[in-house]
Amino acid sequence: MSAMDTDEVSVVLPASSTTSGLSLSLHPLPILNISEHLTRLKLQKNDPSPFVLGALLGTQNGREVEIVNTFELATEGDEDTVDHGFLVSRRDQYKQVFPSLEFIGWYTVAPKPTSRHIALHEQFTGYCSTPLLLVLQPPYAAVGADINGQSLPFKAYEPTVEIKDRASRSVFVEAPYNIETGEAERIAVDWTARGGGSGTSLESHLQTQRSAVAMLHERILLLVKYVVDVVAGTTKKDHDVLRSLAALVASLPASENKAFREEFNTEYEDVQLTAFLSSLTKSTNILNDLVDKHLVLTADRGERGGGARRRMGGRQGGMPDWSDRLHG
Amino acid sequence: MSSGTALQTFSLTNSIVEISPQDQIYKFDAAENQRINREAPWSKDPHYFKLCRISAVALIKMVIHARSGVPHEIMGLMQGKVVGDTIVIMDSFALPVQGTETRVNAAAEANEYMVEYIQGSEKAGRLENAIGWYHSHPGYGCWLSGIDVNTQMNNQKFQDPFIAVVIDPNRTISAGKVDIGAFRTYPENYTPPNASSSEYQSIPLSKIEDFGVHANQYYQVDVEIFKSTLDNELLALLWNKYWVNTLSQSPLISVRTFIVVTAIWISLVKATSTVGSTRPIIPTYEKEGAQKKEKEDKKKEENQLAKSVIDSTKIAVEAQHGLISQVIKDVIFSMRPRGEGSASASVSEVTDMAIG
Repeated sequence: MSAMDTDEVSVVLPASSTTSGLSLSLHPLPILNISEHLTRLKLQKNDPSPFVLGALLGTQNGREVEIVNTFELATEGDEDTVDHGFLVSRRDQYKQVFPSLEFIGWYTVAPKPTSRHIALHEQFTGYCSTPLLLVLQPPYAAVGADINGQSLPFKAYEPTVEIKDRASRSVFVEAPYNIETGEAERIAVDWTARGGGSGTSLESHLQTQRSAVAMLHERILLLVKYVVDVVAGTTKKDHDVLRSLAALVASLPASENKAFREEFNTEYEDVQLTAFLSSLTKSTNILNDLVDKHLVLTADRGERGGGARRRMGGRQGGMPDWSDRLHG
Repeated sequence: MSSGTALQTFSLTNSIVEISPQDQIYKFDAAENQRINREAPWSKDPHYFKLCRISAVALIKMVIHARSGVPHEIMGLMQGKVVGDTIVIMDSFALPVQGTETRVNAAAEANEYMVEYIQGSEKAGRLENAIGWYHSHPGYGCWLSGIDVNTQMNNQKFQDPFIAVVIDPNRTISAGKVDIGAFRTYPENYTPPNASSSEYQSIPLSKIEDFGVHANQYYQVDVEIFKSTLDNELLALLWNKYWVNTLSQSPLISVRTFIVVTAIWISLVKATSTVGSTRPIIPTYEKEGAQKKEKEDKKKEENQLAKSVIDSTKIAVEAQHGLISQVIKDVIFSMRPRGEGSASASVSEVTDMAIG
């Protein structure tokens, strides 16, 4: 009886009753991988919502889980049986190249998890004790909504067991996640997001900084508006939020430590020194050019070849002195 | 925005598969693939391929793999197809071998892995064939070494169409943008019509001979990145969470460009010895034209000091960028609210002095 009920009853536990204790980090690469998988299947099968199934690779340290990469999975027979041979061989291949990554879950595209996903989930428990489920939820981006307020259309779920009426069933509980990234990944994602072109490097660098700062500014404005509203009495006071805000303001300025200031200044000086050295090298080069041209101009027409060579010799005699002084 | 919503509802209810032209590239057309492989127009023209388009996921995977392998050279394969005179790379995967200077046939070891992977890919819905290989040159730039040239010439003989891609993960991180190059070799006994001097890049002295000897046996193909409409949307949404990372990364601390600095020092020392023999570049009349210009270009190249200038400017520019980020963060988070003037003054101080 309860087995039939799961078809009607949601397999996702409501967020208020239990929260997953996981601290989950998601990298941008899995996001783009899943998107590419979906686009490809959409085109191949000519179906606007094809069945997408894949595995998640990552690391798990106690309650800290990081989803780093993904690969596609095949199904054998009907759509609900996972091709285990393929899964094992692919997983082992990825192990060879990235030994630190493990199978930690699976992904699919669906509006929300259903009993079908529970059935699929059972097939993965052999590989990992608690395989996570990552779901991409269509519609992917709401039309017309303010894009700044939206979050990614991905939801992560952790499987757990719910005991109700003396029967237990597997359910999913939603797990919140953060976005984490490595430096190389960040640069690659940034670069592709900007189209992979190359402008003048100063301009593009400043642009990125500017957009990041603009985001910060927007967020701050939002917070300020909230506080103003609370003071005016138009919005309800939420003590949690106000406490975090107070903590935030108290933590500014970020550091007044003398050691920090010193280190900062030293680094500043080092960078300016490299700039100075490079300008110095440049001016040396220009000077060299100038001297060469001067020699050509002032050499007598007749003995241009010989004169130049003699002056060359004289100059070379002079050079070692200068380099000795540099090394000395 | 109501018309937009209406359109979306219409498409959803009528199961219209809306493929924007941007996404067409993701479709794999088996018949077209067979046709073009039969015709093989690249076998008649050594300079056939002009452009290499790489998908966002392939690129990111390659960069991550390259970075994870530092200081070793890593390699992998790429899957894709040919469209006109463009090689399109849809996906990439890593191979469990590490390249070293002396290993010519690193690829042979990974054969079993490759075959299994490609066969498996079909099951998972990835129908494209292997279309190229990539490897990394950590810290010494994107070009093909002698061994790479041999490997690629072999590949082009037996597995054409095939392209070679090189990534430098160290330069990527210090410059803040991906350092990548795509190359096609010329077949043996083919001399390209005019040996065009490629854009200068700073290569460590230990490798420069290898670079110079083989530089004329291959040509560089332009690289373009493409992504789907869904990718674009997700990236826009991702930015909402991502901007924090952009602000908080500090390239000055995470990478110390040690290798490049010592390379500059070595080349400067060399320069002090050769500077005596530099000749000036004499301006010529325009009609005397191309011949003279080539000789001048050669002279320019021999000027070691000029090369050092380019190298040092590059480092200084990268360091300046890192500094700009630091100053911005400092202004936002550390300084007490004083007048408007001082905060913006310190930022503009740095940006004004920035070169490049």
